[in-house]
Amino acid sequence: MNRRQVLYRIVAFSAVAISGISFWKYWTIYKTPDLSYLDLKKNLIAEIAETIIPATETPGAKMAKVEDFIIKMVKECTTIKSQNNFIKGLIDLEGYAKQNFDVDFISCSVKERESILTHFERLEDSNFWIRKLKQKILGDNFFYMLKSYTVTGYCTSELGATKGLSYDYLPSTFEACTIIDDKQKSWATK
Amino acid sequence: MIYIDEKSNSYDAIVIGSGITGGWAAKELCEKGLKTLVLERGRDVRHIKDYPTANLNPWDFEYRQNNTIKEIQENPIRGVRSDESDRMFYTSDKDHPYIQSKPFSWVRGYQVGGKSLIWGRQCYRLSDLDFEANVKDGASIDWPIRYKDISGWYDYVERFIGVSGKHESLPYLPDGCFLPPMELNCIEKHLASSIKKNEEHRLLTIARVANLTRGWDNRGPCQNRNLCTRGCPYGGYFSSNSSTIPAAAATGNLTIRPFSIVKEIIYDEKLQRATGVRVIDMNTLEEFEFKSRIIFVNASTIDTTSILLNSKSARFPNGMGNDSEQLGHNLMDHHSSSGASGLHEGFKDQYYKGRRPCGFLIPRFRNIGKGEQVDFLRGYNFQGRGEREGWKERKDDVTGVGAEFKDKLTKPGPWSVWMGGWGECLPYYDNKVSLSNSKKDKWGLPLIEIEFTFKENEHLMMKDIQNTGANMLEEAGFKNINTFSYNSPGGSTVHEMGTARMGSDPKTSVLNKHNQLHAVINVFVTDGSCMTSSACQNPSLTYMALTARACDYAVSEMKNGNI
Repeated sequence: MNRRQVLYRIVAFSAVAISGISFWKYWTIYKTPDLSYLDLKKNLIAEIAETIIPATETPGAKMAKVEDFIIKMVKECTTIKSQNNFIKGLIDLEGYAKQNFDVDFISCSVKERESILTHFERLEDSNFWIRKLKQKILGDNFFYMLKSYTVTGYCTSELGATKGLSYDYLPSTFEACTIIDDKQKSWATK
Repeated sequence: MIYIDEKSNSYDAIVIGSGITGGWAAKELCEKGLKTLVLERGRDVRHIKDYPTANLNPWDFEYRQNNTIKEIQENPIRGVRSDESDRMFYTSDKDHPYIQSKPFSWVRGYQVGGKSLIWGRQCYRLSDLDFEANVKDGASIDWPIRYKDISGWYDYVERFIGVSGKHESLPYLPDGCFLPPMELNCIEKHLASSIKKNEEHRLLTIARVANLTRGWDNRGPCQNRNLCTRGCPYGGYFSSNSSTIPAAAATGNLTIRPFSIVKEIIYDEKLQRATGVRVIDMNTLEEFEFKSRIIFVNASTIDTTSILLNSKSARFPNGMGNDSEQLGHNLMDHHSSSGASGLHEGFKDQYYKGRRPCGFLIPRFRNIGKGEQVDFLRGYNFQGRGEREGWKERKDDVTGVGAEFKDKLTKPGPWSVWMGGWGECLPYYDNKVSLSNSKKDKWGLPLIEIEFTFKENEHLMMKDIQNTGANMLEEAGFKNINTFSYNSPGGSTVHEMGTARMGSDPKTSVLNKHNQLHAVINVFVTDGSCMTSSACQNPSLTYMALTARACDYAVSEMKNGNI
């Protein structure tokens, strides 16, 4: 732990202390997360991803097996603080679904699922700097991770890149200015 | 090409390092008939055969080109610049530690080909505006050469490596021998015409890059994949591996020894010459000696300097050729972490096809002639690119979920331009490289200690870059204009240079005008460490030209019996 990290933790600790939240909150951020929970919730994660990027005339997140990518990212490419946020977010999301619709997220209609996710998106701070600061102190926001990993997993998958987007494996030439219509998909890679 | 592991051997020439300048030294010396040994501290990398990721798709990578937390923690410098697709060409911080007295991102490529595999490929000539800068504003010692001394060598190098670019007839950014230029896209053309209309002393041109716009020297053309740092199976850009090393090998005069860490250059007090080098095998830790008549040191700026510093003798107690006490000092790196970006609402029915492996250049316009004078010395250029936002940007910008979100996510977003200022860094004596007195690496060599900060002149420039960049975007009708200054530490531009500078006076410089150590006439240094000032141009082309020039001189001196 370097000096900067220590400082952040002191700031983080003071922030939660001042705001009247107990030591409990501090602990929930830094505890060792139970990552096997993600495997248990693989189906849920797949359904959430599919709600974010549904199958339309092109494949959706589930067909592209985005849930495997999301779990891999949370397990290996995410800091401990953010891992805890992600797991807590999943639990909150399930709780919110039950509370508002009396059923599991998986059993909700598309409309209900979308309203649940929109609720969690709105919990994100709209101010860029507050979001950045919170991210520094408390780790990444649950919904931000969820959406970001879903999109990345989809757009870098074979189905997502080649069917959902335009994938140009070997361009050969560069055409600097082309005319497009509104059906044009964006390039999968740059 | 021959690979050896004999314990003792004599050559006409030894070249330490096989990167962009080592490759050139090898080619020139071999073609002039010298039996040449190239010593490379890293592993061998053969053109095409050793580019394992070159043809892979995004989904072929386990982490889809994201880095794990473990990689970022263990290799913080490698971790921010590379991923699964090109990590094999970046040196591990963990395995090759150094001391940062102040934060300095030292990016290395320990392998045959060095960083020529992963370089930015930008090729710009220096001019007399740069060569005369030190003496005119008094910031440092004068360069011992002028543009006329090197212009023919720029021609020579460009004709061999293949550089695409557009002639602009700027006296302070001389045109070269160009292949057809790459093309600007519609937003870049729009910005170019706005700048032309609004700014008397500025222009925007396509980058000049060592990517081949047509077949050249049995390589290329560039396939516009923009996957250069994985190694190019088409030979679409210049690297030692694709170009100079094969050329050197074709002469039959080249021997390469990978895994050879040079410990020191051996000095003979009686002869007053270097007689060879002492090498540690990276894997076995065995020591070897190799002899030669001349030695070219091309290990990259900081490693070259550390080899010279570690080459101690009764004559040179503070490092070989260090009579001036300048060796290790005057470390420079361009700053490139401030700039501006913006979005444009127009051109909605236009796009592009293919992934052009470069962006645009706005050549330096500050402090030139009677043009735009400002409160800092020297200047900067802008390097940037225009594109339509893709899913990576859209995922953070588009709210909502579901079919509508998916539709917006997968369609081209607004046009954007990002541009950063690449700024000159003055040579400061206290920005330096030294050897640790106490700490050693696993080969028993002293750890390298780097102390570097940008100072007032650079910081003033960074401010100006932000304002000027934002203004140009504003004038061109961009919206959501952001200025940024990432405050990246030195080294981040990977243009480290200046620690064994050239000069006319042995009292204040390490090398003479032929890149020859003032004090040891059969040792030449032609990588970035030779630079007397940094200018603001990407420097590799200049290093290559200086290398070819020094090889020519060295061989003629050998023939005349002077070395």
